[in-house]
Amino acid sequence: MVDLLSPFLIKAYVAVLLMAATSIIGSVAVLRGVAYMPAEAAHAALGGAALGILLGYVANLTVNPYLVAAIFASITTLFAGYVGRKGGPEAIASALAGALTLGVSVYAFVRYVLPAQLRVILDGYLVGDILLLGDSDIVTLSILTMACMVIFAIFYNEIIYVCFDPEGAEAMGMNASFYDFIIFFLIGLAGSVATKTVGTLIVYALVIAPAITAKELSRSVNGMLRLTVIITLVAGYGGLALSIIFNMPSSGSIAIFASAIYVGTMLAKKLVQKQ
Amino acid sequence: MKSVETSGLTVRLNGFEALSNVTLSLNHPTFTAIIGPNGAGKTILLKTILGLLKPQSGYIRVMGLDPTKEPKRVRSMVGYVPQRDRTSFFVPMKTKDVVMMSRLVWKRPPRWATEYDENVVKKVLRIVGAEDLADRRFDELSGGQQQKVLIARAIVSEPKLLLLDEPFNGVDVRSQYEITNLITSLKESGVSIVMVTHDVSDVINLIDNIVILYKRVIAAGRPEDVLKEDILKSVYGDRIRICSYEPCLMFIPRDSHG
Repeated sequence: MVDLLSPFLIKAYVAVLLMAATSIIGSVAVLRGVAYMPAEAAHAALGGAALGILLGYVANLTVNPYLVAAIFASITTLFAGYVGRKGGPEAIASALAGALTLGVSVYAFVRYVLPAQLRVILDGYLVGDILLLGDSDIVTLSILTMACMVIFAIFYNEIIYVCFDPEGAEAMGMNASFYDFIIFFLIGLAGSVATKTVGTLIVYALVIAPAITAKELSRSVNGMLRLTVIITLVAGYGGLALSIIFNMPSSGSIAIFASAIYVGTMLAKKLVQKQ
Repeated sequence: MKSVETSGLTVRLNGFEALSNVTLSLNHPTFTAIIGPNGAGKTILLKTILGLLKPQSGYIRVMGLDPTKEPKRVRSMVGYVPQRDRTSFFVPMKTKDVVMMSRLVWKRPPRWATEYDENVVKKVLRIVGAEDLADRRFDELSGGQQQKVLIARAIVSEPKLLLLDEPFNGVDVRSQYEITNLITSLKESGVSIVMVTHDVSDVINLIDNIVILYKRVIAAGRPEDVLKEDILKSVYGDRIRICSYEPCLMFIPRDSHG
C-alpha cells in the first residue's frame, strides 16, 4: 500500500503545483510563436547541469547544478532571441539547434568522465525524477518559479502585446525588444524548471501540450492561461496517480497524461466540428 | 504647421538604400495617399516617420518634432495602423483588449485599465461601428472588421496624425466604403491622414495630396496634377491604366497586390 502522504509524494505534489505555475510561460511560448523553445532550452539546461556537476566533482566546488542549468537555459534563449531579431525565426531555430547540440554534447562528455554515483544524478536531468526531489530542490524550484511569476505578473500586458503585434506595440511607444527579451528569459527559466521536475526528454509534452490544448479551447488570453494551469494540474496529478497504480515512471506517466489530453481534445473538437 | 516634413531623407536597410533623398512637405490637417510599386519604400517611410527606422542622412520632422530624437513624443501624437497580416494569429485576444492596448501602453507597469479607459474603448468601438464585436476574438473577425478594430486601436489615443499601411488589403467593397467614411470623418475632426495604398480609386476624391514613391519621390501634389499617365508609366511601366469616369478617376495598376 502506497503512503499518499509520504515525504516523496508530498514533494512531488508541490513540484506539480510549481509546474502548473511555470506552464503559464509555456503558454507565452505558444503565443509568441516559439513553442519549440522550452524544449530546446531544456537541452541547454541539461548541458548546464552537467557542467555544474562536473565543477563540483573536479574542482570540489559547492555548485548547485540546477542553478547552472537555469543560467545556461536563460543565456541560450536570450542569445536565440538576439539572433532572431537580426535574422528572423529561422535564426532563432538555428541558434536553438546549436544550443541543443552543445547541451547534449556537454552532457555526453561529462557523463563519460563522472563516476557511476554522479551519473545517476546527471541522468535525473535527462529523464526526470519528480519523486526523488530533495528539500533543497524544492526550495530552488520554488524561488525560480516565483521569480518567473513575479516578472510575468509585472509585465503581463507588455508580454501579450509583444506576442500579438510587436511592430504595433513599438509604434505605440513600447520598447518591444526589451519585452521580447523578457519573454525569452522567462522561457529559459521555465524550461530549466521543467528539466529538473520531468526531465529534458519530455519537457515538450508537459510544458507545451497543455498550452496548445488550452489555446484550442479558449476565447481569450486569460482563459487560455487559466486552462493551461488546470490541464497541467490534471496531467501532473493524473500522471502521478497512473505511476502509483501501474508502477510506471512518474515523469513519463505525466507526459503521457498531458499528451492524451491534447489528442483527446483535438479529436473531440474535430467530432464537434463535423456535426 | 506641417504634419510631416522631410528633406533629403535617405534610409538604408540591410545594406540597401530603401529611401533616397526623399523630400516631402505635408500640411496639417491633410489627407495624403502614398502609392508606388512593391518595394518602393512606402512602409519604410511610415516606419521612419514613427522613428522605428533611423535615416542615414536628411531631415525629418513629424508635427514639428524629430522622431529620431524624440520618438516617444512623436509616437504619442501618431496613430499607426499596420498591415493586418503583421498581427499574430497565435494570440486569442478579444477585440476590446486589442483597442485597450493603445491606452495601456502609455501607463506604467502593471498598466491597469480604469473605468474611464473602458468607456473610451467602448466609445471608439462605437465610432468605428464595431461595438458589437467587443467580446469577439480578433483572429475570428473578417478582414474588414479587423481593419476597423486596428483603426479603433490607433485612434483611441486621440492622435494628431494617423498612418495607415494598406488598409484596404483583403477588405470587401462595403468595408472599404465604411473605412473610407471613417477616415474622412477623422480628417474633418482635424486629424492628418497618411495612407499607403496600392489602390487610390476609393479615396481619389477625398485626398488632398498624392505622393508617388519609388525609393525617391517621383511626383507629389494634388491628384489631378500627379496622376498622369506618363508619370505613372515611368514607375509602373506599361502595366498601368487610368480610366476616367466623371467625377471619378480610376487608377488601375495591374499588380495591385504583394
